Amino acid sequence: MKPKHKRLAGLGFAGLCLGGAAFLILNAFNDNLVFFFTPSDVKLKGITPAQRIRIGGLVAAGTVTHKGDQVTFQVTDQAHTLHVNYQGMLPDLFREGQGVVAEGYLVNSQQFEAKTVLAKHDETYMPPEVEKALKEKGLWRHAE
Amino acid sequence: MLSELGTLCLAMVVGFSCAQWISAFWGEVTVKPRLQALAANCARMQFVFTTGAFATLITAYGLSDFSLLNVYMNSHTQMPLLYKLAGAWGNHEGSLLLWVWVLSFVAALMTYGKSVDGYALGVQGILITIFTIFLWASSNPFVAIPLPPLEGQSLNPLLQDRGLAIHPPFLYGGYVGYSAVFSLAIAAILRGKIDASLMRLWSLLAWSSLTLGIALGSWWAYYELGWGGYWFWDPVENASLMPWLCGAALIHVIRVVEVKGQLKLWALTLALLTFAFSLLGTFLVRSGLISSVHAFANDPERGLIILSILTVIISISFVLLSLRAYRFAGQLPLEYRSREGLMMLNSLLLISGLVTVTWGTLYPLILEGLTGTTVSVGAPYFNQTFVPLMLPLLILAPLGVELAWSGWNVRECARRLAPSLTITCGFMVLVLYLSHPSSFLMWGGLGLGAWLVATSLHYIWRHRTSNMGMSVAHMGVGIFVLGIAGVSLWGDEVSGTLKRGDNLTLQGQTYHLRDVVQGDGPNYRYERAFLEVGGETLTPEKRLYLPQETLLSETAIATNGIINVYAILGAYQGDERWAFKLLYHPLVPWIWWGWALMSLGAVISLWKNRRRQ
Repeated sequence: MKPKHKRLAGLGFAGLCLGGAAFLILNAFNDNLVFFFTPSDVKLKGITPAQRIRIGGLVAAGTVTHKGDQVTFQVTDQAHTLHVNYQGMLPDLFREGQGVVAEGYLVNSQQFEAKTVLAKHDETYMPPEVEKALKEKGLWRHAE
Repeated sequence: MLSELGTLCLAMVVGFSCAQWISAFWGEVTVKPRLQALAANCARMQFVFTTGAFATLITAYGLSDFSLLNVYMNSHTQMPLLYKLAGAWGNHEGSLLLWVWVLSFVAALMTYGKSVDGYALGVQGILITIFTIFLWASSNPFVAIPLPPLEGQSLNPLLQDRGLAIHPPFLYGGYVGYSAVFSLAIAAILRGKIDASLMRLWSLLAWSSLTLGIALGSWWAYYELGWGGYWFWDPVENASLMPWLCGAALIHVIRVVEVKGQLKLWALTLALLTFAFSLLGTFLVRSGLISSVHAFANDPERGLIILSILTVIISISFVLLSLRAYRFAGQLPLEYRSREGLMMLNSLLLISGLVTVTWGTLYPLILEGLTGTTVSVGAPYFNQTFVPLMLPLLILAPLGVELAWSGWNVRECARRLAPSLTITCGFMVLVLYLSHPSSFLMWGGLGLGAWLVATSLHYIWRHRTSNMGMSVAHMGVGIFVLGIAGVSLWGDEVSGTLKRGDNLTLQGQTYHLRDVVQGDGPNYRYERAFLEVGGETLTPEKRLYLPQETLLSETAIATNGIINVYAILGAYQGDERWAFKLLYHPLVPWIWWGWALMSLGAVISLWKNRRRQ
């Protein structure tokens, strides 16, 4: 093969590799983006139960109930509340009155089935998306 | 006093590093050996002062000197000494100082060797000046409090841990080690020729350190975060993976440059890119943009400054590269059916993988910046994009090992690989028959791991210590893959609520809860369970750390090197009952042994080649 053709073939192959990567990315993206919503967003937008989403807000005080392996609690952004059901061990830093992010599926507009509850890395930490959402609603308060 | 001392050291560092790059460049351009010697001496002096600064900070922590704001925010008199000292780099300012220290150490190391590259020393000096000034101006660990408090706020309990204590030094050895590669690349660009052997040595050193740093982080996450997971595709984890992938491509491509003198432009590009990713990683972790168990919670302003520094450094370096690219244009086309051809393919696949990881990590940030929508990209995305790209890479790796430089003989390669291929197929059939694997991909993964281990062992058998580093590293990859496949295919778990005297059964073993006691540690209160199995006792705990009143789980892991049993103490359920979870993790230790071997392989290659310098 002539050197020029070889080089072209090489570049073509490199393009193929990157194109392959791009194809894989686009393919994976459609199904795997997980959007974040607050309880108010859930109420306002019509979210289908099939979508895997994240919800976040504050754990409403006095709503955490353990039933064997299952635990239920309510997540609120002071305007609306979602009931959450979770099977498994809660992260240690999960606490009433603190911010939480849960990932899972919406059962209906009031009920959320969480597959994962995200841990925070210290007790003063508020997940940025929750903080941002609360700030937007003018409900941000500095925790003591 | 320590505050003044520390700040003084920083000032001296700025002074000496400026002198370093001024004399280095001047000495190179005018070819004055005395100036070049001066540059080397300045490099060593600035290292003395960064060490002084760092030692000052560590001393302050050791003495619990709360007149320093940084010590007040991150330490406590009742913390064990090890964590007081490690707390020095367990926060933004201190870890940035560690970052600068490694940068400085690299510069000092660069002054040794047969020939010192003045341009490289100069570039390194510029980097030190920039980052020290940034540290001083925005993140000074030596800021003093006028009226020192009597007690500190203590360190986040998650960080009060041996694994996490040594994770940053190794990680930064990697990240910042690539500054040497960057400096050498810029020097090569300015000179018009590459010292490939030297660049390869530094690449191996940095990559080896980064590998260990990532492994330690993954291992820490496994035993500390309490879920038995070892990799979460967390943006902060990805921030370390990206330079690692780029660096892996680099150590292969730079070898081609060394042996064949080809792929020079590609090697230089990779060298610049790897450091760019290191800087990007630094920015991501400190910017406060990321929601993660692991990110430094910080103000975006600092992140923006690092982003600006990053952009300027990278833009200038790539402009320089494009201006001088003509000097490195290859004369001969690459022979594809050869070792160098496969090395090229290796770097292509690694970079494609890098692209998928970068996109998955940055996309949420970009989307949020542009539209305000919060989105997250989790493991499924990475499994669908990154993994398929790595498969051909790992399958072909042994082929690349067997192929000769400049050309191949198909029959010869097939002959050499045949025994390993047979063993691998035999192994896969055995697994299929004995174990009925539930996942095709993971079964394939077992085969892939076996393939890499078998070919590496066969190579060592035939070639003894020649290219030993390569064999050890590739074997490490194989063991790593076996670990992942093993735990995925054969992992098991059981949960239950137990009171004293109850049992849980997992994989044929009975775990008996003998007792649950409460007590006091140095700076925490604990609740400890005693689970007996066979002759051993597992003691998972829950700890309440003072003064933050943070609750943390300490998992208990029993291991024999091949199988891990992982016990978690859950919440108290009332009525003298506690929740428990037991995980059965076969082959999971091989994940970290694999990483360790990869790192060791790089060190072996480094050691065997050091004489050349």
